[in-house]
Amino acid sequence: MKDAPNYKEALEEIEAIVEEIENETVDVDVLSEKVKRAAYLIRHCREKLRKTDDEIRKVLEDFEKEEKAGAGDD
Amino acid sequence: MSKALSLFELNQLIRTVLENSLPDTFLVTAEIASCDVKNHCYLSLVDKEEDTIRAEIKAVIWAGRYKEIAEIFEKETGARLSKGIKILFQATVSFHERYGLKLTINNIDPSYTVGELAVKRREILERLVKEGLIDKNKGLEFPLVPQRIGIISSSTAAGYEDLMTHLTNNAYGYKFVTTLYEAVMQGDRAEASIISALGQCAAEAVRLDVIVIVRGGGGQLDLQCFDSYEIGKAIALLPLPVISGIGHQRDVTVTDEVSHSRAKTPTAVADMLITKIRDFEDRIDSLAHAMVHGVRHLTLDMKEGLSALSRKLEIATGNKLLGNFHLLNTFVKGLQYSLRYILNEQQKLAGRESNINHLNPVNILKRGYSITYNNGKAVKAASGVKINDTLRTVLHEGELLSRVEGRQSDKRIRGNKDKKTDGTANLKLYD
Repeated sequence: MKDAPNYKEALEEIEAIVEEIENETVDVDVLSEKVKRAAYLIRHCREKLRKTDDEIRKVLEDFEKEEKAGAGDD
Repeated sequence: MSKALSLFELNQLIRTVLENSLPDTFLVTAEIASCDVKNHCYLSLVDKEEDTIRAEIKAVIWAGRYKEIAEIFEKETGARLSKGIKILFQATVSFHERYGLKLTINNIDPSYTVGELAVKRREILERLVKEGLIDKNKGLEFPLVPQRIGIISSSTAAGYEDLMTHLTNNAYGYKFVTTLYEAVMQGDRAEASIISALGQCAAEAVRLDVIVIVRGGGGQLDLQCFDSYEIGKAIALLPLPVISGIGHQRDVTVTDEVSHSRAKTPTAVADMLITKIRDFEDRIDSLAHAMVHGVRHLTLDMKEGLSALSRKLEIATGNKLLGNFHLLNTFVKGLQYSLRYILNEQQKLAGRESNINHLNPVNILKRGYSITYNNGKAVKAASGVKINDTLRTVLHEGELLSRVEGRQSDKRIRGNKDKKTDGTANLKLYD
């Protein structure tokens, strides 16, 4: 799992996760992880469509910080 | 040897011979080798066999005719009178004593050139087909998100400006990273310039998603440079898909044919790119929607599963509890019964106790009765007592010792109120 996959890789990963969820083959224990990952990828793609590489890097760094902060709360 | 002529005389002779012996006009086909317009249009015309020039001549279109001829020609063919163009023209052969032999072009038939251009284009296309190049660029996968655009154009071209404006101001706020590969887009130098720009794109292919070729203004002219085998081949061999936006309504050029996609105007090229990205984002959006829906569904299912379980559990425990309750009830009832029984018994016992209390000698003594003992035995009949026996009488409080002086053995106390004794008792208080 790359943190900054290209559009194709991101789309394929999102599609796989959504398919798992729709087919209800996703393990309930990892559901939250998968949803988080897909949400990250969707956000990453949407950001990337509208920002330059530098801006994207900044956004990703912020996101990682948020993630870490979130993980600290757990 | 006859008299020598002056050069002028000779040239005058040549001019007279030519003008007298040749028809007024000829229909001639030739290829333009060069074209120079300085008020009048001066041309160099050649006739080639393969690539070898086998005939050449100077020609002129006088300014008075040139404007009309050029206008019609360009309108009909989409090409300018320029190098490489083949023309069918009506000309007069003329000879000038100083300027020599030349053709004066009176008219040009554009339909010949149109045909020639079509033939040339067809030949190039056939060659590209034969060499397996024609569909090579079309075979490339078009990027999911064409965001990094290599643009082959002239920075001063109106088409380039249109493209940039549309890409920059797209309605969705998509960011395009564009790189201009400057090229001459018309005239003799266009072909080499475009091929060079394509070469630069190929070298920088890793940081590009797609190549766009856009031309200047919306005119129909100078498209013949795009009917080039070399450009076609360069596009075919590019590792990136090419969008041709050279803008024309006439027959498609070789560049159009060999490119991955084509659009009529630079604006249409921009729309194509924006739409492609919008398609991608639509997919992402619908996936996001599907995920939210799916997760909701999934968690709802889980919740329902849980509440079904919980209901089952409730029912199960309810049954068990109910059973226990019945059992408890029975217990309680039994217990109540037992308690009542016990209470009853207690009351009975209490009753009995009071009876027993009545029987207690102490209580009898309280009522004034006394017990008389003779030698430790209660005296119940007078007959058992002798005169002078010492009797011990137990009262409610204290005891008396007395000596028997007499007795009446045949009389009972009960029913005899006038009790009579044998004598008087000598009573002695022990306390």
